[in-house]
Amino acid sequence: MAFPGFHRSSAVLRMGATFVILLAFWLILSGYLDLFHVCAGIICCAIVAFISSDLLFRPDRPVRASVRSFVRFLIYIPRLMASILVANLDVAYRILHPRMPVDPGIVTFETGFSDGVARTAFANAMTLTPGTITVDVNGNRYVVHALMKEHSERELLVEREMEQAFAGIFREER
Amino acid sequence: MNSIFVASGIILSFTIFLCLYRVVYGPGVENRVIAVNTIGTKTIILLVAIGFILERPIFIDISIVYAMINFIATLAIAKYLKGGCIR
Amino acid sequence: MILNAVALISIICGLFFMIVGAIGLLRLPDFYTRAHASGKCDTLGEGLMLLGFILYEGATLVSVKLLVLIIFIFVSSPTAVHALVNEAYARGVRPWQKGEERR
Repeated sequence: MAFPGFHRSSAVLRMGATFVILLAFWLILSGYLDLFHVCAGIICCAIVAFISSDLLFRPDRPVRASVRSFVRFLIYIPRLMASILVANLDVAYRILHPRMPVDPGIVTFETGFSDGVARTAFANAMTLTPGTITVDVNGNRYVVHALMKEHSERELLVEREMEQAFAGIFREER
Repeated sequence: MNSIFVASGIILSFTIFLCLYRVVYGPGVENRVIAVNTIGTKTIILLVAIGFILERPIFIDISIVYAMINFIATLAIAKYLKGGCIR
Repeated sequence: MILNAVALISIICGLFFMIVGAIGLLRLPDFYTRAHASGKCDTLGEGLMLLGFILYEGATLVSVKLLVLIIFIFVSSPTAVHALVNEAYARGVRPWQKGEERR
């Protein structure tokens, strides 16, 4: 800590960013723009931002890094949507096929994430995309139920395309 | 376009009845809960469609609240079945 | 006019995925595979139908609310399914394998 004021200004920045996000959410959900509703929103958002700003932006990470991760995630969303669509068409084909060509099984694999947000986002994306559902997450060990076992084993243990994409999105930077 | 909303509402109600089979006959608690969760997600869309048919925007707010309640209820049931108590 | 046609296509695709999700819930052999149908097809079907409603509505406050609803569903629906599957796995429900009798 070379600069004594560094920590404090970062806390103020966190609170300010939380306040802006909460106020935008309030204005969208309320829909009224008269004096009473806007003032009530400002008061509520200020109280909530003061109490719980460290839930949205982590204290041990600069705000700018969080925002950059978020922007990288937004850029990744179209590719994620495309793979969700492909995975859904695959599942729909297997459901509607008269003989139901499914071969389910449990796959276990390890990842290299260091961050809780990255783990959560990866688990959610795993449930949505390639024929798998996240069953259990224990540290970096993922237990996954796959609809087509051999196909998913090849995808998760050998190719690791999605894991690398998420590691790139949530990489640590100082 | 209004008839499209009515038709999609009718089809959604039909799919809800299909899921209701799993709620009534499904073996075990898990099958029933996941069928109830699916019915909830279909009901959200049904509420939005009703809002468009009747031209009342308030139904959108109701469906947002319903989505939140559906999510929290499923989480609470899963936690209760796993640990035996909700804390 | 073109926007309405795109909205119509989106709503019909969403309805297709919703119906497939319901059929999968009936047809698939055990709980874990049914969770696939419920978690994937329903989430995408909902997203497509709400996208169709947004395209029909145009740029108003209602469509912003529907966008918030889409984001919330894409975060919450996989989480709910994961919680249920995790609970079944912790209680020792055995996954169905190929060749067994359906449950």
